[in-house]
Amino acid sequence: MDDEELRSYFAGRLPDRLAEVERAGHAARAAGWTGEPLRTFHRLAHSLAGAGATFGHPEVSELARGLERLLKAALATGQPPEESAVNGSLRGLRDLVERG
Amino acid sequence: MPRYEPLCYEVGPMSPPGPRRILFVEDDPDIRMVATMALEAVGGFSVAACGSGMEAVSRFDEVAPDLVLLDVMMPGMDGPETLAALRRLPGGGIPVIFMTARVQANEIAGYREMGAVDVIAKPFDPMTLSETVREIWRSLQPEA
Repeated sequence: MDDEELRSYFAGRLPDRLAEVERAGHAARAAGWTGEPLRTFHRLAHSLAGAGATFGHPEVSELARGLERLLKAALATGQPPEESAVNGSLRGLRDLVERG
Repeated sequence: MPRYEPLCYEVGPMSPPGPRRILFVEDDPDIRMVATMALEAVGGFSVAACGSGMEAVSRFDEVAPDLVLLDVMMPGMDGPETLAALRRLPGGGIPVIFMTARVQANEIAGYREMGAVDVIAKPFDPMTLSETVREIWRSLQPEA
Protein backbone atom coordinates (compact mmCIF):
# COMPACT_ATOMS: atom_id res chain seq x y z
CA MET A 1 0.00 0.00 0.00
CA ASP A 2 1.43 3.38 -0.93
CA ASP A 3 0.51 6.64 0.77
CA GLU A 4 -2.42 7.34 -1.53
CA GLU A 5 -3.83 3.87 -1.05
CA LEU A 6 -3.55 4.29 2.71
CA ARG A 7 -5.34 7.63 2.52
CA SER A 8 -8.04 6.20 0.33
CA TYR A 9 -8.53 3.12 2.50
CA PHE A 10 -9.03 5.23 5.60
CA ALA A 11 -11.35 7.67 3.81
CA GLY A 12 -13.56 4.66 3.16
CA ARG A 13 -13.42 3.61 6.79
CA LEU A 14 -14.04 7.07 8.20
CA PRO A 15 -17.87 7.13 8.07
CA ASP A 16 -18.12 3.97 10.17
CA ARG A 17 -15.41 5.08 12.55
CA LEU A 18 -16.97 8.48 13.09
CA ALA A 19 -20.38 6.88 13.63
CA GLU A 20 -18.81 4.75 16.36
CA VAL A 21 -17.32 7.84 18.01
CA GLU A 22 -20.66 9.65 17.78
CA ARG A 23 -22.48 6.72 19.38
CA ALA A 24 -19.91 6.69 22.18
CA GLY A 25 -20.46 10.43 22.62
CA HIS A 26 -24.21 9.95 22.99
CA ALA A 27 -23.62 7.19 25.54
CA ALA A 28 -21.14 9.30 27.51
CA ARG A 29 -23.56 12.23 27.60
CA ALA A 30 -26.40 9.94 28.69
CA ALA A 31 -24.18 8.63 31.48
CA GLY A 32 -23.55 12.14 32.75
CA TRP A 33 -19.97 12.20 31.46
CA THR A 34 -18.83 9.58 33.92
CA GLY A 35 -17.61 6.01 34.14
CA GLU A 36 -16.99 3.51 31.39
CA PRO A 37 -18.99 5.38 28.71
CA LEU A 38 -16.74 8.43 29.12
CA ARG A 39 -13.61 6.24 29.07
CA THR A 40 -14.82 4.54 25.89
CA PHE A 41 -15.54 7.89 24.21
CA HIS A 42 -12.05 9.09 25.17
CA ARG A 43 -10.39 5.91 23.91
CA LEU A 44 -12.21 6.04 20.57
CA ALA A 45 -11.26 9.70 20.10
CA HIS A 46 -7.66 8.75 20.91
CA SER A 47 -7.74 5.90 18.40
CA LEU A 48 -9.25 8.06 15.68
CA ALA A 49 -6.56 10.69 16.23
CA GLY A 50 -3.82 8.10 15.93
CA ALA A 51 -5.33 6.36 12.93
CA GLY A 52 -5.94 9.66 11.14
CA ALA A 53 -2.27 10.54 11.48
CA THR A 54 -1.08 7.07 10.46
CA PHE A 55 -3.26 7.01 7.35
CA GLY A 56 -2.39 10.49 6.12
CA HIS A 57 -5.46 12.39 7.32
CA PRO A 58 -3.97 15.09 9.55
CA GLU A 59 -7.18 17.14 9.59
CA VAL A 60 -9.06 14.18 11.07
CA SER A 61 -6.27 13.61 13.54
CA GLU A 62 -6.22 17.22 14.67
CA LEU A 63 -9.96 17.39 15.34
CA ALA A 64 -9.96 14.01 17.08
CA ARG A 65 -6.95 14.99 19.17
CA GLY A 66 -8.78 18.12 20.31
CA LEU A 67 -11.75 15.99 21.31
CA GLU A 68 -9.45 13.54 23.09
CA ARG A 69 -7.95 16.39 25.12
CA LEU A 70 -11.39 17.61 26.22
CA LEU A 71 -12.33 14.12 27.35
CA LYS A 72 -9.02 13.46 29.02
CA ALA A 73 -9.53 16.60 31.09
CA ALA A 74 -13.03 15.45 32.00
CA LEU A 75 -11.65 12.10 33.12
CA ALA A 76 -8.92 13.76 35.15
CA THR A 77 -11.08 16.38 36.85
CA GLY A 78 -14.42 14.60 37.10
CA GLN A 79 -15.98 17.69 35.55
CA PRO A 80 -18.10 17.39 32.40
CA PRO A 81 -16.45 18.67 29.25
CA GLU A 82 -17.73 21.81 27.62
CA GLU A 83 -20.43 20.34 25.43
CA SER A 84 -20.22 23.07 22.81
CA ALA A 85 -16.55 22.20 22.32
CA VAL A 86 -17.32 18.48 22.12
CA ASN A 87 -20.09 19.14 19.63
CA GLY A 88 -17.81 21.43 17.63
CA SER A 89 -15.19 18.71 17.27
CA LEU A 90 -17.78 16.13 16.26
CA ARG A 91 -19.35 18.54 13.78
CA GLY A 92 -15.95 19.26 12.28
CA LEU A 93 -15.32 15.55 11.84
CA ARG A 94 -18.79 15.04 10.37
CA ASP A 95 -18.12 17.88 7.89
CA LEU A 96 -14.91 16.15 6.80
CA VAL A 97 -16.76 12.90 6.22
CA GLU A 98 -19.52 14.59 4.25
CA ARG A 99 -17.06 16.53 2.12
CA GLY A 100 -15.45 13.19 1.31
CA MET B 1 15.97 -13.42 26.52
CA PRO B 2 15.57 -13.19 22.74
CA ARG B 3 16.08 -16.39 20.82
CA TYR B 4 18.77 -16.32 18.17
CA GLU B 5 21.39 -18.52 16.62
CA PRO B 6 24.61 -17.85 18.51
CA LEU B 7 26.81 -19.15 15.70
CA CYS B 8 25.55 -16.41 13.42
CA TYR B 9 27.60 -13.83 15.16
CA GLU B 10 30.35 -16.01 16.50
CA VAL B 11 31.55 -16.65 12.97
CA GLY B 12 30.96 -13.26 11.40
CA PRO B 13 30.37 -9.57 12.04
CA MET B 14 26.66 -9.68 11.21
CA SER B 15 24.21 -9.44 14.04
CA PRO B 16 21.07 -11.57 13.97
CA PRO B 17 18.78 -10.15 11.29
CA GLY B 18 15.75 -9.64 13.45
CA PRO B 19 12.95 -11.36 15.25
CA ARG B 20 11.29 -14.08 13.18
CA ARG B 21 7.90 -14.08 14.80
CA ILE B 22 6.17 -11.04 16.25
CA LEU B 23 3.10 -10.96 18.45
CA PHE B 24 1.39 -7.66 17.64
CA VAL B 25 -1.30 -6.44 20.03
CA GLU B 26 -3.49 -3.53 18.94
CA ASP B 27 -7.19 -2.90 19.46
CA ASP B 28 -7.68 -0.53 16.52
CA PRO B 29 -8.58 -2.75 13.53
CA ASP B 30 -7.27 -0.33 10.92
CA ILE B 31 -3.93 0.17 12.65
CA ARG B 32 -3.73 -3.58 13.20
CA MET B 33 -4.28 -4.20 9.51
CA VAL B 34 -1.76 -1.69 8.20
CA ALA B 35 0.96 -2.52 10.71
CA THR B 36 0.57 -6.26 10.15
CA MET B 37 0.75 -5.75 6.41
CA ALA B 38 3.82 -3.54 6.75
CA LEU B 39 5.63 -5.89 9.12
CA GLU B 40 4.95 -8.88 6.86
CA ALA B 41 5.36 -7.33 3.41
CA VAL B 42 8.11 -4.81 4.13
CA GLY B 43 9.87 -6.46 7.03
CA GLY B 44 9.41 -10.09 6.13
CA PHE B 45 8.37 -10.94 9.67
CA SER B 46 5.82 -13.52 10.61
CA VAL B 47 3.12 -11.65 12.53
CA ALA B 48 0.37 -12.89 14.80
CA ALA B 49 -2.02 -9.98 15.34
CA CYS B 50 -4.25 -9.83 18.39
CA GLY B 51 -7.03 -7.36 19.09
CA SER B 52 -6.74 -7.38 22.87
CA GLY B 53 -4.38 -8.08 25.72
CA MET B 54 -6.51 -11.03 26.73
CA GLU B 55 -6.18 -12.57 23.29
CA ALA B 56 -2.42 -11.99 23.35
CA VAL B 57 -2.07 -13.79 26.65
CA SER B 58 -4.21 -16.71 25.50
CA ARG B 59 -2.32 -17.11 22.20
CA PHE B 60 1.19 -16.50 23.53
CA ASP B 61 2.14 -20.15 23.87
CA GLU B 62 0.71 -21.11 20.47
CA VAL B 63 2.45 -18.20 18.69
CA ALA B 64 5.79 -18.55 20.55
CA PRO B 65 6.94 -15.08 19.49
CA ASP B 66 10.47 -13.69 19.59
CA LEU B 67 9.16 -10.19 20.24
CA VAL B 68 5.94 -8.47 21.30
CA LEU B 69 4.70 -5.15 19.93
CA LEU B 70 2.13 -3.86 22.39
CA ASP B 71 -0.30 -0.97 22.17
CA VAL B 72 -0.56 0.94 25.46
CA MET B 73 -4.16 2.18 25.47
CA MET B 74 -6.59 -0.68 24.99
CA PRO B 75 -9.96 -1.53 26.53
CA GLY B 76 -9.96 -4.30 29.10
CA MET B 77 -6.33 -5.20 29.72
CA ASP B 78 -4.24 -2.22 28.69
CA GLY B 79 -0.63 -2.48 27.54
CA PRO B 80 1.03 -2.40 30.95
CA GLU B 81 -1.44 -4.95 32.33
CA THR B 82 -0.84 -7.18 29.33
CA LEU B 83 2.91 -6.89 29.78
CA ALA B 84 2.60 -7.92 33.42
CA ALA B 85 0.44 -10.91 32.45
CA LEU B 86 2.86 -11.99 29.71
CA ARG B 87 5.76 -11.83 32.16
CA ARG B 88 4.04 -14.40 34.33
CA LEU B 89 3.87 -16.93 31.47
CA PRO B 90 6.57 -19.50 30.72
CA GLY B 91 8.84 -17.86 28.13
CA GLY B 92 7.22 -14.51 28.82
CA GLY B 93 10.51 -12.74 29.38
CA ILE B 94 10.99 -11.94 25.69
CA PRO B 95 11.43 -8.31 24.58
CA VAL B 96 8.30 -6.19 24.59
CA ILE B 97 8.07 -2.86 22.75
CA PHE B 98 5.27 -0.46 23.57
CA MET B 99 3.60 1.51 20.80
CA THR B 100 2.02 4.75 21.94
CA ALA B 101 1.44 8.41 21.18
CA ARG B 102 2.54 9.26 24.71
CA VAL B 103 6.26 9.54 24.34
CA GLN B 104 7.38 12.31 26.66
CA ALA B 105 10.65 11.51 28.43
CA ASN B 106 8.99 10.73 31.75
CA GLU B 107 6.42 8.52 30.04
CA ILE B 108 9.14 6.56 28.22
CA ALA B 109 11.03 6.16 31.48
CA GLY B 110 7.85 4.78 33.04
CA TYR B 111 7.40 2.23 30.25
CA ARG B 112 10.99 1.08 30.69
CA GLU B 113 10.46 0.70 34.41
CA MET B 114 7.52 -1.56 33.61
CA GLY B 115 9.90 -3.77 31.63
CA ALA B 116 9.48 -2.61 28.05
CA VAL B 117 12.75 -2.62 26.12
CA ASP B 118 11.76 0.38 24.03
CA VAL B 119 8.91 2.49 22.72
CA ILE B 120 7.77 3.14 19.15
CA ALA B 121 5.95 6.45 18.77
CA LYS B 122 2.56 6.69 17.18
CA PRO B 123 1.72 7.70 14.57
CA PHE B 124 4.26 5.46 12.89
CA ASP B 125 5.25 5.33 9.25
CA PRO B 126 4.20 1.90 7.90
CA MET B 127 7.10 1.94 5.47
CA THR B 128 9.74 2.37 8.18
CA LEU B 129 8.11 0.44 11.03
CA SER B 130 9.97 -2.78 10.24
CA GLU B 131 13.34 -1.08 10.19
CA THR B 132 12.58 0.56 13.52
CA VAL B 133 11.77 -2.86 14.97
CA ARG B 134 14.98 -4.26 13.53
CA GLU B 135 17.04 -1.40 14.98
CA ILE B 136 15.60 -1.99 18.42
CA TRP B 137 16.21 -5.72 18.06
CA ARG B 138 19.83 -5.11 17.07
CA SER B 139 20.30 -2.83 20.06
CA LEU B 140 19.31 -5.75 22.30
CA GLN B 141 21.85 -8.17 20.92
CA PRO B 142 25.17 -8.67 22.69
CA GLU B 143 28.23 -7.23 20.97
CA ALA B 144 29.94 -9.73 18.66
